[in-house]
Amino acid sequence: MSLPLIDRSLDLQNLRFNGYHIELRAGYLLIKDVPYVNASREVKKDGVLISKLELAADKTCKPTDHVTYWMAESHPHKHTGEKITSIENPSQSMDLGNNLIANFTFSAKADYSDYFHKMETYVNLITSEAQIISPDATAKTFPVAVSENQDSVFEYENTAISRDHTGEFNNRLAKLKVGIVGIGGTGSYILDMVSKTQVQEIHLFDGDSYLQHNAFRSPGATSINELERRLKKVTYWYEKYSAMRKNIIPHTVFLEKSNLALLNALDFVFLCLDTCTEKTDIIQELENQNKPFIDVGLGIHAKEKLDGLIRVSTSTSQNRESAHQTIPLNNINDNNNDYSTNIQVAELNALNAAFAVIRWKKLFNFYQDKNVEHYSSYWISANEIINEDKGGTSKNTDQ
Amino acid sequence: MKGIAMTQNQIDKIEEIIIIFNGREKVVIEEFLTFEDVVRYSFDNPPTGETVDFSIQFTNGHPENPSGSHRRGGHKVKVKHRMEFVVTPTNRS
Repeated sequence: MSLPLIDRSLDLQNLRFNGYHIELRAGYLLIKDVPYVNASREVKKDGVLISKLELAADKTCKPTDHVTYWMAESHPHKHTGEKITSIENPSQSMDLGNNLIANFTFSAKADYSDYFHKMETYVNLITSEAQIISPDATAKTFPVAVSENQDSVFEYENTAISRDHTGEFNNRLAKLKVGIVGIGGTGSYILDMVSKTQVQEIHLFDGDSYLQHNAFRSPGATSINELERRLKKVTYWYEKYSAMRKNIIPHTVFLEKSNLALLNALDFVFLCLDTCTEKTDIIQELENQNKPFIDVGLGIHAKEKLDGLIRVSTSTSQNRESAHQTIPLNNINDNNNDYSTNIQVAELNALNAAFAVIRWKKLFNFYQDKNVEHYSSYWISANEIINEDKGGTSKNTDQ
Repeated sequence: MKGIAMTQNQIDKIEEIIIIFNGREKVVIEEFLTFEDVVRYSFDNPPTGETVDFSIQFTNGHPENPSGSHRRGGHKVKVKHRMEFVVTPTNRS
C-alpha cells in the first residue's frame, strides 16, 4: 500500500501540521486561503500561492526553482497601498491547467532548504502586510485534513503521526481485527483507545442497553437525548466512534455457546465482561482457535474508603494453563456481602483499559516488553503494580 | 534432656506477627501462608470450595519476595510482621 505524497515528505507534513491549507494538484503545491492586501487596501483571504513540486523517489526534494505563482484578484500589496515589489515578477498571466491560473508570478530568489521554507517565506511576506490592518489574518487556518488515502480506516488523518514518526509502529497494528466482548465501563474505554489505532476492524459484542448509570463510567459525556433513545450499548458506541473511523462492527448479542463462530474472523480479543458462566465457553473457544486474548477485571470494595485491585490477565498459546489460574470464572457465593465488588469508578475502568491496551500493544511489537508479563495487577491503596508469569516471546502474531 | 525454662526477657522477645488483610490487622501464627490461609484470615465468613476466585496482592513482605500475587495450588508466601494483603474477586468490567 503506497502512502500519499504528503506522508512521504516531511516538509509537506510540516506545512499541514502548522495549519496551512495545502493541496497537491497535478504536480503543483498549493497553499490556499492566504490573506493579502488588495489594491484597495482591503484584506482578502482567498489568495492561492502555487509552486511547482520537484520530486525524487516519490517524495519532495530540495526546490531548485524559487519562483511561485499567485491565483487571486489582485497582486498582494503593502498595508500602505503599494504593491509588494520585492517579489514582483513581470510575467504574464498563465493557465497552469487543472483550474490553476497563475494571475501573477513571484520571484524571491533564495536558497530554500525545502518546500516548508519556500512557501512559508512567501506567505509571511504577503500576510504580514495584511496583519498590520487585520491582526487576526493568518494563513494557518487548520482546515480538517480529510483522508486522502482510500484504504485509511480513519475519516480524517492523525496529523501528529508523521511528526512524531510513530507511523511505522502504528502500521504493526494495521491488519488486525480486534474484538471487544462486553462494552461496559472497561470495554468502552478500551474501544476509545483502540479506535484511535489503525486496526482494520473493531467488533463489539454486548446485548445490553446503554443506561443512565453507564454514562458515569464511559468516555465522553452522554446527553439526555441520547439516553432517551434507549440504544443498545453496541449501537451507542458504534454511532459515537464511527464519527472518527470506519469498520466498527456492532453485534447486539451476548456471546455464548450458540454464536461463538462470531469470533472466527478475529485476530485478538479483549474480554471485558463481568464474570459469568458464558465466559468459560468463550475462553474455551478462543483457545481452540489458538487466539491470544486479554481478560480484565476490577475488584473494588468500600470500608471507610475504597480500595481494591485492577487486573490484566493475558492468555496466549504459550501460557493457557497459568492464565486459567488468574481469570475468575465463577462468582463467589456471597450471602453476607463480604466480597461485594459492585463498585466501579470511571478512572478505574479507564486505568484497567489503559493497562490492557498497553499489554496488547506490547504483544504486537508496538511497545518494548521487558517482562512479557502475562499477569499484572495494580493495588490502589499501595499504588503498586506487580508483574508475574513473565517470559515467553512477545510476538504472538504467528499462530 | 531436661527442659530449659525461659527467662522473662526471652519471652518478651517473641513478637506477635501481625499481618494486615484488607485493612484489618490479624495475629498470624503460621510461618508461611497458602492462598487458602490468606482467604481465611481475610473474611469473617470465608468461602470454601474448589474454585475460590480471588485475586490476591501483597506488599511489605520479605526482602526475597516483598510484593507479588498469590495463587492456589500449594504456593506459600513467607510471613513478615506488618506485611499487607488485599484479597478481592476481580470480576467486574
